[in-house]
Amino acid sequence: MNNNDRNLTARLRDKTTQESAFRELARDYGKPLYWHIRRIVVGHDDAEDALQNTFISIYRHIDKLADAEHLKAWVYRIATREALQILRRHTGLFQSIDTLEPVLTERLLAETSVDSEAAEVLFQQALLKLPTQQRIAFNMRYYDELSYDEIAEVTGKSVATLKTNYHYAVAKIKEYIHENT
Amino acid sequence: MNNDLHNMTKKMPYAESEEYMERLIERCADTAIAERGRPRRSWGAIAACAAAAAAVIIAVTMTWKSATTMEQAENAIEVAAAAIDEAGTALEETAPATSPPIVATIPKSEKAVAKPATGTAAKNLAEETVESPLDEFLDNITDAEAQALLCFTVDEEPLNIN
Repeated sequence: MNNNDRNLTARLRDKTTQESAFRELARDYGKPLYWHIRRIVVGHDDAEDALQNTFISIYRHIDKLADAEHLKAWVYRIATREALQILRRHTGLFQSIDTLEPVLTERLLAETSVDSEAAEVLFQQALLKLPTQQRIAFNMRYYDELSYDEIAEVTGKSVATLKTNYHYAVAKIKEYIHENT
Repeated sequence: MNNDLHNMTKKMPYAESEEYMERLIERCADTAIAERGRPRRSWGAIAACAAAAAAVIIAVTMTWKSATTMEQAENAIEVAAAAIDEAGTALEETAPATSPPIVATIPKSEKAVAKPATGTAAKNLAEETVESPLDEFLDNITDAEAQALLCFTVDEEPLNIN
């Protein structure tokens, strides 16, 4: 854990400095968390809801943050859980969130900015073809540049599994881009 | 993957501005701080409200069936509306601030879904003023309430108005 996070964690656990420390955490992690969530749920409205729930959950459970726990992994874990919960709301009974790919692709195309490059969109479409767990592991490694150890803390999966996930994700993305260009 | 392509794929193809993001994050933080002190909605409260709503619907159904005048029927509806309102308020008071509204209102054109009255009942209804409790109730009826009312009005005989 870096010094800034260690200091922030200490202030978050102290009742007298908790609120200001939480605002600092929101400033530091707000944007990365928003984009992490947005990459999972794709739609902006869903991302906003999940971010709001994430912040509520963080502030409500701040006292449960263990000393040895990494702040970054802890907030990413909460954000990932909230994002997945939002996705589950869009599925039917006994339906896997992996089946939401057509809905998410449609949302991606609907919300894509007019001045975005075709390659950006194609890359996002390729990502949406991945199984959700693989996609999340890939996003955290590629976009958020989290270490495998940090991703393991967030997802609860082993480093070896995550490396395999990432490797397969890269292979599938390349294949999709080859087929569609 | 060359550097240009690498940078391009790291960019998200959306248009949310920096200012917008900052405002959103600040708002989320404010809400989280405000939300912390609020009690969470418990399963006990939800079960109690559901039981109360079921009891009200049964009571109103029985009153409606035995009603012989429009006034009695209106009273039954008013009792039901008041009970549903109270249950809704109780739930809202314990609901998290970010929860969606307990009941969604429905467009006016979809509101008057009850079976139209015929004969004398229709005549009596036509004489009602716009501000009558029945009209007011129908104006404020929610989707859930309309569904509940429909459950016991669709197959009923027309009201016998003395």
